[in-house]
Amino acid sequence: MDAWVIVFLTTIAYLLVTLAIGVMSGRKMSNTPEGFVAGDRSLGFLVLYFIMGASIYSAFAFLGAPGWAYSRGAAAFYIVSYGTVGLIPWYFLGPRIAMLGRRFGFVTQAEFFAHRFESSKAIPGIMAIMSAAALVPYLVIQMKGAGYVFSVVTEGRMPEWAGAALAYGVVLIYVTRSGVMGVGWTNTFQGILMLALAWGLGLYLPWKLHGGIGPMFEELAASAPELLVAPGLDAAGEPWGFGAYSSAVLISVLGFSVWPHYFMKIYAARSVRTLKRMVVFYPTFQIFLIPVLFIGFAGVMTYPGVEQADTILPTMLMDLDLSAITVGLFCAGALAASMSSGDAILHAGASVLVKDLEVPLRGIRRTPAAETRLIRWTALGMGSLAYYLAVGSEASLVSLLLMSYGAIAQFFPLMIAAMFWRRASREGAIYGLLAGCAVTLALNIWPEFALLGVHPGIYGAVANVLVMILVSLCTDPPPPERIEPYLMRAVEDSEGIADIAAEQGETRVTASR
Amino acid sequence: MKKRHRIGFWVGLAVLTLSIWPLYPWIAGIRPLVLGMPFSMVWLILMIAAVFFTFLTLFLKDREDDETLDREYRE
Repeated sequence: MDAWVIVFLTTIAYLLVTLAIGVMSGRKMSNTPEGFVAGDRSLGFLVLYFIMGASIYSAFAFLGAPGWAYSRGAAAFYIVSYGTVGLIPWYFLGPRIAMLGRRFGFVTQAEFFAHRFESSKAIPGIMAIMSAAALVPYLVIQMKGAGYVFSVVTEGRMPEWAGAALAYGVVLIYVTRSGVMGVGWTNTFQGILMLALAWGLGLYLPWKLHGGIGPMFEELAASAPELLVAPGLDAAGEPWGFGAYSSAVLISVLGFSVWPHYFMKIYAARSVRTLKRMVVFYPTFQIFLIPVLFIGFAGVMTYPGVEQADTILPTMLMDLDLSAITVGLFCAGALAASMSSGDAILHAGASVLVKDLEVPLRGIRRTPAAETRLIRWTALGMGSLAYYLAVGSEASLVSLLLMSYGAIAQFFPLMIAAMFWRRASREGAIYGLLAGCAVTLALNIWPEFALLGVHPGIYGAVANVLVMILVSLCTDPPPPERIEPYLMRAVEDSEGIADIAAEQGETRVTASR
Repeated sequence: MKKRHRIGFWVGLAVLTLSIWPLYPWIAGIRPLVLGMPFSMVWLILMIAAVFFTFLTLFLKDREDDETLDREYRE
């Protein structure tokens, strides 16, 4: 049997296992938005840990990150740094958000803000559009990654469009059937596969090519020391600025805890304790990036001059004469990285478009089952659109994605204001968000005005905060009884939460806006 | 926010500050190599460890409070 056939069959076996896990995991889920989107608020630690970990490691983990280490050296360290602290806000704010989610029946991020700011349409609408604008290009890139993997696997016999269709056909089946439970259990499987692969390849390649990690870095320190000292190099191979490096860390930290597809998982936690345990253990997932960076560094001396840095890992694997099974497992791992992000994005994007855009705008009352059906169809539509963009368009998605990081980060000041500032008003929130987005967008179009190479999103956040404060102070404060449950007290927070919990017995209403 | 949670907040802020300009450039040299890795990279692992152990300690201390909350959360 030809080697490529074994590689292909290994990959297909991975897809079949994923499909089986994904389809079976949704059996007990209720046919309501609460079941489909928030898993009936029943997710345990393991699934929550892997859902967060694996969603974050996208196709970028096995293609982009080694590519960064290979071509830009220590610039790639920023990815580790932001993930280390990015989820900390959840330790403090997550329990309150989960409590309020259960009390008011929230399943999306914007529902939380819409209720806090008494805004029935504007805030969820703006947030839904911003989220979709960020999530669709993200999904497109995952699909392109999956197509690329299949093309490599079959040595070009299977075109990228067919590979993307196969992988995301599987994703669409389990997302539409099992919702967040499908995402969660497949991510657990995919996460374990990725961890094993990252450590396996991350230790094997330096050993094979250099005789170990120590000798590899000794060689690099002697011949290319600029790669080992932060902030590394920029995309053109020139020294990167610390302004750009630091603001890349900062904007990613701001955005991390408010990406819609992560934020929604707060509602899915089985308990406050489970949520906090996941936050505590989350940084251990960051260690996974270290061997991924080893892979990129291993290629620097042995494979100089690879033009497309993202292809460094496949280039090395194809050149090293590894067994077909090993190459097949790599391909399965790279597909797992793409699909474990793609599924969460697709699921969250469809939920947000229906719950935050369609329902508030059209105001049609539906049964929970009908609403869930609409979310499923929307997932199909969103997947088809992303697929069309992945195979049929040459639009520059990377620049769109980079811009979306800045835009999503604008939700962070909103979250802090919602939970700490009594005076923050609806108008302040709306105009702050719009100002933040406008500044981020403008500085992406005219980057020469973003001084010191600082990320446009940082300037956007400054504008956002200033406008929010000014407008809030000029408008009526929100009624105290509405905002009281949201406000974190300076000391002894648990009493505040206990008050909310005590009211859990009240009739649950879907956020009366 | 509980008083002991402030420690978590300050550790998080310190780790963030130690990972960017102007402090990280002072730390991010190549040597000493630790376990074969350049110090700039080892630093990242130390920061992960600092965050992990701080929050693990807080988490263990929060147990009683969280369990009280969870009884009410589940009702």
